[in-house]
Parts: sequence; structure tokens; C-alpha cells
Amino acid sequence: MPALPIDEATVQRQFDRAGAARWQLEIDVFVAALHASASKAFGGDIPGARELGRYLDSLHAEDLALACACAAGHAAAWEHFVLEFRPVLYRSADAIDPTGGARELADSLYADLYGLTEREGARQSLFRYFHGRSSLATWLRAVLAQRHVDRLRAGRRMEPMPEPEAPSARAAPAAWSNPERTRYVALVRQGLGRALAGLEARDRLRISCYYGQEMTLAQIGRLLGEHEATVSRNLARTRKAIRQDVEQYLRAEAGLTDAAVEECFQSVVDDAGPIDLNEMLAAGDDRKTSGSLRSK
Amino acid sequence: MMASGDKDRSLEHLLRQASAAGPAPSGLGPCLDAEALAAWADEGLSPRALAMAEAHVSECARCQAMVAVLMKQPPVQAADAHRSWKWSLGWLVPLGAGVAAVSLWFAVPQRTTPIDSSRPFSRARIETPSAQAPASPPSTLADRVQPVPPQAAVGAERAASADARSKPVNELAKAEASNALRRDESVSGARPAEETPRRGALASQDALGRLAAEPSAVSAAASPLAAPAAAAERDRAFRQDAADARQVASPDPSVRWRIGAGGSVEVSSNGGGSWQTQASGVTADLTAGSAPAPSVCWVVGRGGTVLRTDDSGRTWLRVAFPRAVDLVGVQAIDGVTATVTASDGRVFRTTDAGRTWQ
Ligand SMILES: [Zn+2]
Repeated sequence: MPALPIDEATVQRQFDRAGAARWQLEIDVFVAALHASASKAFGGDIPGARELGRYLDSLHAEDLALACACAAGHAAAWEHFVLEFRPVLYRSADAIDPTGGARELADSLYADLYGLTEREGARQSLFRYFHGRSSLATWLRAVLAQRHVDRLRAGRRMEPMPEPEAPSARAAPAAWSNPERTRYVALVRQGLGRALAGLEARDRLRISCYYGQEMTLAQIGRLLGEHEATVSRNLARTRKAIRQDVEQYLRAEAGLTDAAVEECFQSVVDDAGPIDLNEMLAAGDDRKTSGSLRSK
Repeated sequence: MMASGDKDRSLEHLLRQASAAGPAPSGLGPCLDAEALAAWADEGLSPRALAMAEAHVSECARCQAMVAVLMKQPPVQAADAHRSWKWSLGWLVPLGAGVAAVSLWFAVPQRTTPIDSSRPFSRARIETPSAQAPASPPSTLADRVQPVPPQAAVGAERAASADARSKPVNELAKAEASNALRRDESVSGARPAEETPRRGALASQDALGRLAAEPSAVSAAASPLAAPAAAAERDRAFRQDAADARQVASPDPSVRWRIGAGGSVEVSSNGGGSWQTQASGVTADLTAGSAPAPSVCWVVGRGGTVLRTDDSGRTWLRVAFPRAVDLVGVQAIDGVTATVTASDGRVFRTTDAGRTWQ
């Protein structure tokens, strides 16, 4: 790793700010943590001293020192961590799964934080991935969120694939008696896939958070740094753009008449069947290669 | 003639069924790791990193789910705020600086000034609420102003009916049911270790291994975008990590134990070349071991499980332990003296082979 311009005075200032002496943390260990943090944040680039200084000042220094001390096996730090952060972790687990299913994840996290594995005589604690760019509490919640999601995904992957016909059969067979409708719905989906692929990332993210993840306007606002009203306005704007894109696709590229376009949208309402992701993905790919609407 | 509002509703109907429209374009970068995700939530990402994160997550179902799980969590509560309070008053500064900012910083109390423009890695928060009045979202958005309670109905049925919107649906159920089943087949080859569900500490060991394989900003190992060869190599590495984590070395390099889920204990007398299964007599997941001598080994696990052998594992003795806590670490001096660590951080010590614990 190329040397970052962290001088001694800076180190001392950060060390003091972090209250690292409280944990009898060796200054070298703390310096290594600062380097690791900056390396990750700057992605291998070497920032100027001022930029680096501003970055270091932005860190959650106390939390970083605590994490360093825990990773280094300082008993008092670990005790403090357990006392202060166990409630955070358990509340987070209970929020994720009120039935208690995520508590097991939280418990297993302790093992990794404590560092059960050893490499060349040194404990390998999960704390070494905490870089102070967030609070320790948020980091713990994020680790838990990641493990929860991955566990769910792994579980789902084990489930058998649904019978392709089954959902359609379950849902309003009358709507499917008209083969034209099947085609219409497919066209709308295709158009939608292309419209989504052509959105600005932020707009697509907002739409995904709202419709796919069912996040509230407030939650989306917190994520994107927007006020709720702005989130709402932006959602409406994007939705309109998507609709216009889809209509344009149906008319211009699928060659449908106005009446047929109307039929398309109506077919979607009547269609209670599942979306065909393959179709959607194919549409996205198509969009990427043609790039016809993307630059819009 | 169908009104545009009706057309919008048609499209919303589809949007709810498929959150991520397509695979992440190659070159978009691997998945966010937990550290980057947390940094995002706490405004610790540089503008460039933030833009990259948004671009990736806008197309990645896994990351969207992670973001949602994180952002749906309730604000950090008083006890946590107290910690910050104790250390610094800085987090009080944002009062009056705007509702949006306050709510964020209340959620995650910080010791630095929240809307501190000198904080270069914070996203500029230029917006202010227009009024005290609640946001007035257009028509069909109106029902989302109230926070959604956290949901955990893992088996949430993929309700595609018209009233699906009004039902609380697990944040993952929709995105996952519609995306994971099909899309993930194409990427699962890159991370086969995720194919089998694992439990508890053993799963976490894998996760640890996975994290160990991601020294840089992002978790390439977990990414569907990782180059297959690199992904396979990382995968091999983290499976090796996981395996290592469950091995217990003894002072004799040829003798080692291997422990695991469901009370599994194996011993090798040729340095791991071959393994013989032993009868541990327990079914709890075993998490850690310590072998102070070639013939002596202590093993701990879930639910206060402590085992000891003095005869190279021919017999494993269940050592009485006063609490049914999950044990995550053990350090043995010999056959009578050992220190165990519980998952809550408490440490217990015995100097009489486990008859008493302090
Ligand atoms: Zn991702």
C-alpha cells in the first residue's frame, strides 16, 4: 500500500479525538486503522494532505478506536462494546424479525466480532472491516441486514422452482382466454423493462425502493437525502416518464394503434399473473445493446 | 379512453412485482459490503462513492433488499443516544436544521455536526421541508406516508392481486420471489457456498470468510458480477477459511480436531489428511475448541455446551455449565483449567475441570 500523507501531528490529533487512550490502544494499531480506512475511502488513490485531513476529521473516531481495541483483544474495550452495543444489535435483530429469528444472527455476529479464528497467532475479528465511515451502531445494523438478506436468499434458492403454469392457472383464467391479451401484457412488460433500464440510476433506485421494497417516503428520503415531499414528487415524475416511454414503445416499436395501446394497459390490470422476469431481463438487455432510448 | 392515472396504475401493478428491472450491467461494480452500506446510511460516502453505490443498487435486487432492511429499522433509541450524549454534545446541533436532517440524525446520533458543510464526505443536504404539512404525494402514492411496520413474514405469499398493495408484505418477499428464483441461478455458480443454508455460528464463519475475502471497498465475492475465475478463487478461499475456523490445532501438529454443526466432532492424527468421526454425545452446534495437549481437547457450543476429552476423543465428557448461553470461545490450559466466552461477551473460568465456574 502506498504511504498516505498522515503526519504525526494528525495522528496524535485523531488519537486524542478518538479517546483511544481510554482503551490503552497502541498508537500504531490506530494508525494502521486510519490507513485502512483512508485506503478504502479513496480506493487506492493518494489524496492530498488537506483532503485526507478532512476525511479523517469526518470519521467516527471514538467508534473506530473502540473497534480497534476490541479487534486487538483489549478486554475493557470488549466489555464496553458488549454493554453498549448489545442492545443496539438486539433491537436491530428484533426489528428485522419480531419473531426472534434474527437474534441467532446477532448472536453469531458476536463470535465473529470477538474473533474466533486465528491467523498467525492473531485473532481475526470482524471489527477489522469497520472503518469509521459510519457509526458503529449503523455498521452493526448493516452487517446484520446483509446476513439476514443473504440467509433469506440462500433459503429461497433452495425452494423448488414454481410450476410455470400454476400461477397463471390460479389467476383469472378468463383473462388469458384471449391470446391477444397475453401478447399485450408481454409487450407492456417489455416496454417497462426498457423504460426502467433507461432511467437515471437515482430515479430507478427510488422506484425500486418504493414499489419493490415497499419503503416509505420517509425511509427513501433518508436514504437519498431528499425530503418526503420531494421523494413523492420525483416518484410521480418518474412514473409519468415510464408511462410515456412504455406508450412510445408500444406505438413506435411494437406498431400498435391507440386502441391497442389502451388494450395493453387494460390487459395488465386484468392480469393477476406473475411477471415473467426472463422476458423483462431480455428487454433490458435489448435496451442496452440498442441504446435507443437510453440517452434520453 | 383510459386516463393516464389508470395507465400509471397498470404499470405500478407490474412495478410491484418486479423491483429490479434487469441484471446489473457489467462494469457497474460488485455489491456493496456492509461497511459501505452503513457509510451510505450515515452520509459517510464521498460523492463519487455515493454515485457508484446508487448506480449499483438501482439495479441489484440483493443490495436493494439490504438497503431496505437497514433503512426500515427504527431509530436508535435513548440508550444509544445516551452513549453519544456522554461523549459529546455535537449531535444536538442539528435541532432546527430541518426535519429531514433531524430525523436522520436522530436515527443515528453522531458526534460530529450533522449538516456540517465542512464535512467533505457528507452529501450536501440542501433541501428543507417545504412546510409542516405532511408531504402530499400524488394520488396513488398517498398511502405510503405512514411508516410501514417492520415485517418478517418470510413466507409471504406472492400476492399479485390488485389489493396486494394494501397488505403488509415482507420487504424481501416481492423482490426476492420475483427475482431471486430465476436470476440467481445464473450467478449461483459464482458462490456455491451459499447454496446450502447453514445455521448459526457456522454460517457466520462463512460470512466471516466471505468478508475476509474482501479487503477492499466492495464484496466482490458476493457479487454476481465478479469474474468467474476470481469469484471461484475467493469462494475457495472463504470456504477454506470456514473450514479452518472449525479446526482445532493441538500442540502436536499431526493431531487436530474438526468441529461443526449438530455436535459434529472429528479427529485427524495425520495433520488433517484424513478424519475420523467421534461421538460427541451432543447435538448442539459446536463453535470453538482448544487443545492444550494432543490428547486433551475442550469444545464449546450453543446452549451452554461444554465438552472435554482427556483420551484423544475416545470418550467425550459433557461438562456441566451453569448457563444456557451460546458459547463462542474457549481457551484451555490443561484438562482442568479453561476459560470460555459466551456470545454476550461474558467470560467464565474453571480450574477444576468444570465442576465450578466463576
Ligand atoms: Zn448488489
